[in-house]
Amino acid sequence: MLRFILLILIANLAFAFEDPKKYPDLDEKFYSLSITEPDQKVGYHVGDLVQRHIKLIVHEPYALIEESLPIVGYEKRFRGQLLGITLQDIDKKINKNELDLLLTYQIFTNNVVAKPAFVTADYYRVVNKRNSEEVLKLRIPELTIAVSPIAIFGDIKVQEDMSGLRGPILIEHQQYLNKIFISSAVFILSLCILLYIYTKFTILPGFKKTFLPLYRTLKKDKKIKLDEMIKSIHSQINNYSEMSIFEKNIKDLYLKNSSFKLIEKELVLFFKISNQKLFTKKMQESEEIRDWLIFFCFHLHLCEKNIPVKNADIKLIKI
Amino acid sequence: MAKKNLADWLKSATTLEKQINEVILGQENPIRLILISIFARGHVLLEGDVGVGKTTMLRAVARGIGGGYERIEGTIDLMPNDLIYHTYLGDDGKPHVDKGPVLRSGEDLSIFFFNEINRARPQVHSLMLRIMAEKTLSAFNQEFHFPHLIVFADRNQVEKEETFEIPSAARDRFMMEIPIVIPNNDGLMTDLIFDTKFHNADELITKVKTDQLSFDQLNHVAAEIQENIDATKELEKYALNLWKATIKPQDYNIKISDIDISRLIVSGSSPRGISMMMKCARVNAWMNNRSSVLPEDIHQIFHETIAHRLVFNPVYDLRRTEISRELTTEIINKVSAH
Repeated sequence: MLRFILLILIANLAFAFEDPKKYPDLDEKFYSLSITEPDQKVGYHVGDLVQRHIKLIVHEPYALIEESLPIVGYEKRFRGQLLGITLQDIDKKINKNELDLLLTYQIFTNNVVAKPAFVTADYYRVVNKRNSEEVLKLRIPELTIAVSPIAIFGDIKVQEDMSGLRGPILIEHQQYLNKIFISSAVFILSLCILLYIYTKFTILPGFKKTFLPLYRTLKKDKKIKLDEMIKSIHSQINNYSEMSIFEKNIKDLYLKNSSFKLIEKELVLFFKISNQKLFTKKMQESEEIRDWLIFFCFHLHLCEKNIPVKNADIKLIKI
Repeated sequence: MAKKNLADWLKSATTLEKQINEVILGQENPIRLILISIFARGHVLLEGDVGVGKTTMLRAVARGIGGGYERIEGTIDLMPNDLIYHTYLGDDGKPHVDKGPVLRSGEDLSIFFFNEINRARPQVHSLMLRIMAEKTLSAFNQEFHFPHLIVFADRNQVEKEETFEIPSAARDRFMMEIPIVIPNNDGLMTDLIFDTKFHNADELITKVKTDQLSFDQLNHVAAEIQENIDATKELEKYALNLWKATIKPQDYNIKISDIDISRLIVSGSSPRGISMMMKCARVNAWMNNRSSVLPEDIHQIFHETIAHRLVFNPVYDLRRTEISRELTTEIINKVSAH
């Protein structure tokens, strides 16, 4: 029993190494073959992919034996040596007697010796549908490319590779000029956006929006009372500094943003106005103070955006 | 008329403050707080190390306001009757009874200094606390009154052995707890070492003029201050929020590192505590020559009037001094006044 199993295994193994060349050739009238080879023939490097498109139509009474098609991952040898080109992918479409194959090979050799890198010819088998004993072969020619730009054994001539479609290898400036042009445009656009962001009146969603909306509201709303104005300014100062700011701990505001130190005199005056209005009730509604508060609010906004407030712009009023 | 009187009183208070500051170096804030408590008529707990000048400071204050000044040292064997009387055998061989430190000055007693109060037993505390709260004492079948009395008690926070911690209910009777620390100024420290005038405390305090404030009129002046210094609705709202923040600090987003703030407070400030705070804030506003209280007036006395009243979870009570300072600072920083 064991011998029988062994014999079967050996027979299968022998079939696996079956030489496809032993079959007779299929007459050309029974098939039509078109192969689209890659434009590039030379200058491949390790890792490059080479695609070969094969269209095959087998006419009646013959039919293609699918098992005879190349196998993904199989690396061919030539005269006992590995070719260094492996079939990486096979995209196969079979429609009745039409075969559409897209074979993708990957280069795995960088042999410095000038020699051709090629895929040896493949032999696909066909069978006669009426007589299954009749198995024939048809030859797919070898694909010849080179990993070196040098012409090799006369098989590949560099000058032949310089087709009109691909054009000669020239130092082309245009693409660099295009890149420079696009980069410059992006840079100028970014500058414009930055300038917009850092100008006095800018407001962007979620970006430093503490004092400017308040300034705009106070400027528009003429009916708002003085104490409400003061409270809303206090509220925004507290929000900005994340703590309750008084004249005594005003340094905490400077720690948050040292630009506020430039308007220290105005801040001190604001706290005086606030104390008088909210806690002593000595202050009456006053247009002058209203205007000053709006002006002060604008200065707070400038400080928030780190735009320096000049000493000459500091405005103080008597209360 | 009242305002004019208050202005005069302010002048006298400022003069006294200046004189005491010349005698006691580097203690401007405690001196200001003591004067505030005198005009707010509240008792004071002093917290500080030995030899930082607490007694000298109180003697100088007592000299300035006039009236009787008495002191007693808290010891573990001190009994309540030691405050009221002491007995001895006289030259005539007969037993004699003399009045103790509380009764010695009679109604004129203006400052009573209880040194190291936490070394005395709870019985002594309870007698003292009754005198503080009611300003009366029953002894020898008689009721004694101390209408002008302010108690200053001192406790050493470092030494804990053989001490009786003052319970929170008792701490609440004190208007302020004032920390007295060594001045952190090389010039002042050098003066304290090398200027010989600071070595003799008895002679030093003679530079403070006596009876500048007339202790027997202070109750009346204190009431006038409270009547004449205003607090606006805004300030009332602010004080209310501060109070609420002492009860539930987590509601005001108050955070202290390494502390679970929701578990820290067992009991916040009492109503008495917050009213004492406002009393002090009014006096502070008056001493700053204002007729209305500002948030800053509260800030200056907030820690001293509130921190000692807070009851902490026992887990955190050992770090009380440090945590209470951080907590009151955070409350002021987080509660908005506007």
